[in-house]
Amino acid sequence: MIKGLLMAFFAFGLCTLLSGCSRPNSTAHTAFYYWKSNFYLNAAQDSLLRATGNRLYLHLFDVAWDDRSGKTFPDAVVRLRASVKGLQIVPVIYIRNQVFEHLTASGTDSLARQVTSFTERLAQAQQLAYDRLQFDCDWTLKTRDRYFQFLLAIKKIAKLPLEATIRLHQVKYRAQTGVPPVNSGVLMFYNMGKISADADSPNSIYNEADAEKYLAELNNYPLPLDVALPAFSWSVHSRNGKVRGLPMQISRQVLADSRHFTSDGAGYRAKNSFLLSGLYILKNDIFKPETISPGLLDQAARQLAPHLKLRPGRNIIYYELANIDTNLWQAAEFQRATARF
Amino acid sequence: MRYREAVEKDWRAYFGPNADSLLTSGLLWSTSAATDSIAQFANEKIRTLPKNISPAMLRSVPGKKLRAALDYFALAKSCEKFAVREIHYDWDNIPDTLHIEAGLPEKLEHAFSNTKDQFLKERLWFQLIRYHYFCAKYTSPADSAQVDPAEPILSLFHRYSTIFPKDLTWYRASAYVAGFYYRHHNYAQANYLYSRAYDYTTAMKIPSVWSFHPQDETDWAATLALAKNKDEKITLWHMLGMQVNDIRAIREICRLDPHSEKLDLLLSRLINSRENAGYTAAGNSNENSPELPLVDSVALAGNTCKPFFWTLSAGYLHYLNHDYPGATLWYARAKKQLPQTDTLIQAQYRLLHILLEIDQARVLQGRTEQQLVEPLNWLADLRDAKKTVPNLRFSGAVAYAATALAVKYRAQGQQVRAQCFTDSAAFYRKHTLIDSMRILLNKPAKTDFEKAMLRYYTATTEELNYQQAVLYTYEENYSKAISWMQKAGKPAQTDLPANPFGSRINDCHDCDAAAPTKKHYSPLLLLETMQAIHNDIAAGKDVYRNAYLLASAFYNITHYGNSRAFFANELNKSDTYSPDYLPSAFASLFTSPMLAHKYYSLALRRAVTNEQRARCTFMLSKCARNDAYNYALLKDDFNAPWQSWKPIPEIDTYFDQLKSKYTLTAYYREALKECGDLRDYVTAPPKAGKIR
Repeated sequence: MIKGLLMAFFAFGLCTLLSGCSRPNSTAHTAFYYWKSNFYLNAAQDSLLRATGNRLYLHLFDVAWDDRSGKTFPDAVVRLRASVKGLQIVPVIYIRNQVFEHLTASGTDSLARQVTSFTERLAQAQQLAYDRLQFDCDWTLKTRDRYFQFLLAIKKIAKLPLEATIRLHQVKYRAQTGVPPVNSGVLMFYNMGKISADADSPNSIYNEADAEKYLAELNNYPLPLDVALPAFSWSVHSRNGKVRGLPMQISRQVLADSRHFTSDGAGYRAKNSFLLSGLYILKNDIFKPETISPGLLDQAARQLAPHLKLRPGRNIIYYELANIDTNLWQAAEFQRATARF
Repeated sequence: MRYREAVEKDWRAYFGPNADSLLTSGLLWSTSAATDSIAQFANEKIRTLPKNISPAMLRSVPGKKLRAALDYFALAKSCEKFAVREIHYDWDNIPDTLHIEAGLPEKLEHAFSNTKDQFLKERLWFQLIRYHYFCAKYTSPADSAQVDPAEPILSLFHRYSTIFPKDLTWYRASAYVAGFYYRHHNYAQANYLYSRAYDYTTAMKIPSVWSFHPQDETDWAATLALAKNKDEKITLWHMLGMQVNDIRAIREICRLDPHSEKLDLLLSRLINSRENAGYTAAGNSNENSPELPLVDSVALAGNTCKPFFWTLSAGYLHYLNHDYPGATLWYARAKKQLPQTDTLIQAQYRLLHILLEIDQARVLQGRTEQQLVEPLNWLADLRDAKKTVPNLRFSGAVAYAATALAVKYRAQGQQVRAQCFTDSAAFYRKHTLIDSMRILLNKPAKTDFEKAMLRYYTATTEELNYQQAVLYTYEENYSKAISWMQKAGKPAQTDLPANPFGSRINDCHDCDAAAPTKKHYSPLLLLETMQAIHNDIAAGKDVYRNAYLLASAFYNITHYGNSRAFFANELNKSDTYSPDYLPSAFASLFTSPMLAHKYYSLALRRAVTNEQRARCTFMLSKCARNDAYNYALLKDDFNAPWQSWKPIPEIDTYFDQLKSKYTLTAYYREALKECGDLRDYVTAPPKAGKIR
C-alpha cells in the first residue's frame, strides 16, 4: 500500500518535473479533418486513420455565393472515391463569408432547409452515416446575426447536435463577436500569426507567443470545446518583398536542394528560374518554410491543454489528413499530443 | 459552343452543296427528341416533323447519307448527356455522378466497327475516346501515375491517329487523351498534346492554354523532347511564357527563331505585367528587372518580324523603370523605324512619348507648360472623341498623365493647377482655394496652357458658389452664404426633400419627406430663413422658439438630419449613405452636432415650461448620441469591429434629467414610447462601454 502510494507520488513528481507527461487518464480522441474534394486515402493515410480510432471530420461542401444569380450554391462538393465503411464521420460544411454578407434575414431560413436537405441527399448518395454536423464560418460582426440565425434554423430542421469552429479571436473578443448557438465548438488552434515575407517573423501557423495572447479567455468560453490542431506545413513564397502564396508542396526538404536554392538571412532564395511541383519559381524568389513538426505540435498541445475546461471524450482533430506527410508523422505522434488533453 | 461554327462547316461540306443549311444546323443543335422525330420520319415511322424542318429540307441530302447521319446523331446526343453538361451546382442536384445509358458503349463500338464512312467513323472515334475519358475520370483513383498503354483510350487514339485527318475532331479527341494523361501525371504527353491543339486553331487556344500545366523541369524537358521540329518547340516555349510571363521563353524563342510571330504576344504580356507592377514603383536595378537587358538586346539585334515593336517597347520599359535618358534614346530610335503609314503605331508612339515628357519634366512652368499645350489638347481630343485612332487604347494614359501633372503641381505648391488635373474633395474645404479657382475660370484672357488645362477640370462657377455658400453656413456667416447661394444657379432653388426646421424623437428621413408640409424650402430660402431667425434671436424675440428652430435646422443639415441634400454635392463628394464614407476633409463638418447643440442648449435655457425643457433635453441627448456615432465611425478603425466603443456618459446625463425632472410631461411619455434606449435607461441601470 505504502509502496503503491510512494510510487504514485514519485510518478506524479516526475511528471511535474518534466512537465512533459500526458494528462492522467486522458479520455480525448484522435481525429482528422479531410478537406480535399476527392476523398481517397492512400495506404499510409488509411493505416494512420485506422490506427488512431477511425474518426474523420469530412468536408462535404462549401456554401458559396454567386454574384451573377444572386443566389447561394453548394461548391467544392466532396466525391467519395474510397469506402468510408468503419469510419465515424462528422460532416463539415464550410460557409464562405460572402454568403451572409449578401443573404437577407429571411434568406437564412431557406438556406438552412437547402443545406440540410442537400446534406441528407448527398450522404445518402455516398452512403454516409452521421449523427451531428459541423459548420465552419469565419463570421464577422457584420455577418454574425445571420450566421447565428442560420444555425438556429439548422438546429430546428436537422434535429441534430451542431458544432461550430471557433477562431482564436472569437474567443478573445467573444463579447463583441458573440457565441454561436451550437452544442459545442471546435477551437482552431492554428493560423494565429501574421503571414509575412519577413524572415524574422514567427511561424504564422503556430508560435507560442502569439498563442499566449488568446489563452487567458479560454476558461471563460461558454461552449464545450473540442480542439483542432495543425499537422501541416507550408512555405511563404515571396517575390520582391510581396507574399505570393503559401505552397504546401515546397517543404523544408525541397528547399534544402542546393542546386536550386541558397539559404541566406532572408530565407531560401531561388538561384535561377525553374518549374517545381507545378509552381514556376523565378530567380531571387524567397521561400520561408513554416513547419509544424511532431515536437512543435506537442508543444502546442501542452501549451493549450491546461487552459481548457475539463471535457471528457474531447476530440482532438488534426488538420489535415490529405496533406499529412506520412513519412514524418506516425500514429504515435498524434496519440501523444491527444493524450495531453 | 466554342466549336459550333467549325463543326457546322464540316457537316455542310459532308452533306454536300445542295444540303439545306437550316437542316444541318437543326440536326446539330436541336434536342435529341427533335432529331429522333426526324429519324422516325426519314424511316417512315411517323408523318410529322418538328416545326423548323420540312420534308423538302430532308430531300436536300441523299437519303442514305441522311439516315447514316441520323443514326450517328442519335448516338452523339446520348453521349452529350454525360459529356456536355453545364456544371452548375445548385441545391436540387447532387453533382458528380456519371449516368451512361444502358447499352450505349456497345452501340458506339458497333457503329464504329461497322461504318465505312470515314467522316462518320472519325466522329464515332471521337465519341468513344470521350466516353473512355469520362469512364476513367469517374472510376479510377486520380493519383495513379502508372498508365497502362493498353488503356482503351490510349490504344484507340494511337491506333487510328494516323488514319484520320488531323482536323478539329482529331484535335478535340487528342485533348481528351491529354486530359487522361494529365490525370495520370504524364505531364510531358499531356502538355505536348495541348500545345499541338493550341497551334491547330484559334478556337482551341483558350482551353489549351488553360489546361497546359508543366510541373517540373524534368517533365518540361520531356515535353520539349516530344516536339518534332523547331516550330513545335517554339509553341511550347510560347505557352510556357504565357503562363508564367517568363523572359526565359522569349530568350529561348529568340534562339530558335527570332522572326517567329509568337514572340510578339510574349512581349505584350511582359509589358502588361510590368505596367501592372505599378507606374510609380521605385527605380529597379537590372537584377530586379531582367527583362530590360533582354528586350534591349532583341531590339538592338533588329531581327524580329516587327523590329519597331521591340524598340518602342525597350523605350517604354526604360521609362517604366524611371530611366528617362534611356527611354529617350530608344524612342528616338523607334521613331525612325515606325511604319509611316501606320496611324495606330504612330499614335501609340506619341502617347508613350507624352508620358515620358510629363514624367521627366522637373519644374512645370513657362516653357515646359507651353510644350504641354499640344499634347494635353491631343489627349483631351482623344478622350472627348474629337479625334479617333481606331484600336488605340488611351484612357489609362490620359488618366495617368492628369494624375502625374497633379502630383507635380501639388509638390510645387500650386494647388489650383493640381486641382484642374485631379478631383480632390479636400480642395473645396478652403475659401481661398475656391476663390482662386473661380478667378481662373472667369479670367478673360486665358493662356493657351490654361485653356488646355481647364479641359481637364469639370466644375462650374455656379458649383463653386454653391459649395462656398455651404462652407459659410456652418460658419454662421449668413450674409456671405446667402450672397453665394444667390449665384449658385438651379440647385439653390431646388426644394429640399423635407422640412429642415422639423424635429422628431426618432430620425426618419423618409417620414419627414412624406409628411405634408405647407412650405417647401430651397437651400436659398433655408438660408434666408435661418438668417431671419438668427436676427430675431439677437434681438431677443421669442428666443426659445427661434433657438429651437435654428437648432433643428442645424441638426437637419448634418448627416443625421433630414436635409443632407443641402450640403451633398459633386464637389465635396459627400452624398454618402454612411458617414464613414464622407471625405475626411468634410467628415467632421457634416456630422458634428455642435451647432445644433449650441442652439438646443440656448432654447433649454430660455424655455419656460417643462414640456419645452423635456423636448430640448431629449434633442440634446440625440446630439450626444450622434457624437458617439461619430466617434465610433470616424475615429475608430471600423474595420476592426471588435474595437471597444467609447462610452457616452453625456447621453445618460440627459436621460437622467428627463427621468428625474420631466416624467410628468406629455413629451416624456411620447419619447418613452418611441425611444427604446430611453426605455432601457429608465428600466435598467446604465452599462459602461456600450452605446445604447
